[in-house]
Parts: sequence; C-alpha cells; structure tokens
Amino acid sequence: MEDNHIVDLYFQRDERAIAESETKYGGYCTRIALNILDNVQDAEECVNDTYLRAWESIPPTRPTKLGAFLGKITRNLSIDRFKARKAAKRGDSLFFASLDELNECIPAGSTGFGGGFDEETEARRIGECINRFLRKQSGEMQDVFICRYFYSDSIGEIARRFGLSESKIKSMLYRARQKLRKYLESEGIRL
Amino acid sequence: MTYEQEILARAMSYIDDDMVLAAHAPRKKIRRVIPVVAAACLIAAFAVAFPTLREVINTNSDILAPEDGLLDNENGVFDSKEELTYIGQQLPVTMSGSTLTLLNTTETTATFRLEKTDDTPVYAMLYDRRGGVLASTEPGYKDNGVVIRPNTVRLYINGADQPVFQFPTAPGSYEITVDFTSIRNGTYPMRECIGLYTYIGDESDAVTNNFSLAVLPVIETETSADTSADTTQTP
Repeated sequence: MEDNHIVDLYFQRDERAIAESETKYGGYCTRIALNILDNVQDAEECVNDTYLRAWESIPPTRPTKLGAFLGKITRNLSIDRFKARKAAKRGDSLFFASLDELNECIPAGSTGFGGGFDEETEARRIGECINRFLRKQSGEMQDVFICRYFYSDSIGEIARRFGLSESKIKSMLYRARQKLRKYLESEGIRL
Repeated sequence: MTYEQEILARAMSYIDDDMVLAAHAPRKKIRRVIPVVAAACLIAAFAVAFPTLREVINTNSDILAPEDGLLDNENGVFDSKEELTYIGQQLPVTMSGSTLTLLNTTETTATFRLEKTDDTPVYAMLYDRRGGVLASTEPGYKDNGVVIRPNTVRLYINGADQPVFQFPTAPGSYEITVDFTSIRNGTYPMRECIGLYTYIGDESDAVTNNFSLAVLPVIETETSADTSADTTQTP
C-alpha cells in the first residue's frame, strides 16, 4: 500500500493503518531498534510503541515520508529505552560502538552542560547543523555516515552494502567525524 | 551514555528524511566484471613484475586466502579494484614522494620503512574491530597525533620510543615500529582485531594496497592514498 493511503487510514482512525504500517515498515523499524537495543524483546516492544506513537501523532501530523517518520520514532524510543535500562552496561551493541565514535565529534570547549538549551532543543539545533554538514558531502559519504550514526549499522554491513573494504569505510567515517567536529566548532556549537 | 553522546545521538534523528531513506534504499551493486582467467593473469603479471610478491605467494599461501580479500570473487568476478591491487609484505608503496614498506611483523609488532624525499605528510590511524579509532598520527586531530585510548600501542621511530603517535614529516629514512604488546597482554581488553590504516598526502590515485601480516593474524594493515575530497565549506 502506498504511504499516502496508509496515512489516510490514520486520519480516518482506521486501525488497519497500524497493520499496514507493520507490514510495510515492521522489518525496517525492528532493525533500527535491534541495532540500538541488542535485544529482540525490547526491540519488538519499541516497534509496537512506535505504532502507538504514530497513531497519537497522525493526525494532526501528516508525514510525507512515512518510513522515515516511523523510523525516527523507533529510534528515539529505542534511545529512551537504552538510556532507561538500569543495568545498562557496556556491551557489544552496535549503538555503543557508534556512541564511542561520536565522542570524536564533540566540539572543543564543550563542558557537558550544553549550550543553555533543553535537550530536545539542543539536539534539534545540532541536528540542523549536521544536516547542513551532510548536504556538503558526497552522496556516498552521506549514506555511509547515516548508515553508521542513524541506523547504527556495523562496519562490516556497511562495507558489504557499498562494495567497499571495511578499512575504507572506517577511514571515511573517521574523516567524516573529524570534519563534523570542525564544522560544529565553526558553527559555534558547544555541548 | 554521556550527555554529549546522547545529544549527538538524538541529533541524528533530525537528519532530513530524504537522506535517511536514501541511505537505506536498495543499492544497485556495481561490479567490475573481470573473468577469473583474466584476473588470474593479472595476478600472475604482478608476480612476474614483483619477484618478492612471487616469493611471498610461494612461501605463504595464507596471504592469498579468500578471507584476506584478494580472491573474494563471488560468481567468478572481482568486486572492486581495491582487491586486485593487494600486495604482500616487502613491497614498497610510493605515493607523493614517500615510500612505505612493511618490513616484517612479529606477534606484537609491525615494522615499516618510510623513505621520504619531501615533506608530504604521512598519516596513520589505528582502529579497533568496531571501527573506533585508538590512535591517530594526523595533526589537527585532537590537536596532535595521539594515542586516543591509553595503553593500546607504542610507536618507535628509529628505535626511539615516541611520546606521541606521530609519523615523521621531514625528508629522511625511518624505521617505524608499531608495538601492540599492551593489547596482547590484555591491558586493553578489546582485542581481537585491530587495523592500521596509513595514507600519504593527498594522492589522487585510487590504488589501495593491502599488506597481509601473516605472522600477526589478529592485525591487518592497509595503506592507501587519500582520495577523499574535502568538500566541507565553512561559512
């Protein structure tokens, strides 16, 4: 079913909207959640919560890209759950690995107390900055960066996907992180 | 998860929808279709042109094992040029006036010879199996070449222990040893696989040369020209 038809179902408060969302984007959302949570049950719960959140948001929101809309909800819910885990310990989750790497993007002069904004405003402000940064990169660099830091895909998976060596992917990401840090600094971002 | 990590992780959720979807859209795989026979001839030509490679092939067939990448030919084709340009130890790679040769490896070290005729910078980064950077020689990264994660590696240049993980830039001849003993001793617990990625200047040639470290199976090194164009524009 086309996205706009699924969205219409949400607007009509037709519960088939959830079933159609699951059919079309269930696998996509589960993968996002699994990469972050590294736990099937937690991932499934997050994906189910995603549909509920979408049900609550549509209407009034009318997403133009339903997949990205659901994927972002899943991602945010998964990060919430990741953070809330009492027993959150270091592990081999792909998300841990990407978090470690993101340390390299933290602008100099950051204090760990943010720029005086609440977390959501801060994240949005930096997200817009990252958007501008990514728009200046090559298409391949954009895709590799997003696979790693939005989807938390493994290096090996990205390498296979793009037909490049793992070393090449690591190098691309390393350089992207360096550039992003410099870009954030040039934009006056401090965390 | 630190505050900074969380903000950056959440900021990724604000990446525009079109880029998010494009990154995960089905990709059309571009293959260089080279018949196996032609590829084999190419390898043979390499072996003839470079006697030391032939020696390496003869003395250590592991170096050409499929898992090393060279013969990773699904359905009889090579996937990329990178895999075709694989070479073994003792074969110099020259880029931008600098020649780097992997001399030897032990269970805890990899030793290179760096011959520099100009001041083109040579950089290296050491990464772990998950892609995290352990050390970088590139100035400007954390202000200097540094060991980012302590107790992972030591660098010796002409036998002298270096306080920072930084390659020489001045013309000259250098013997560079990267010592992974700390990892071997378990000081750094992450370790089943690390890699050393080396690049020279801004060479535009896209050749990538992989060195196999037969003696040091948990470690891979790769030397490459830097082909990534810096398109970042600072407003």
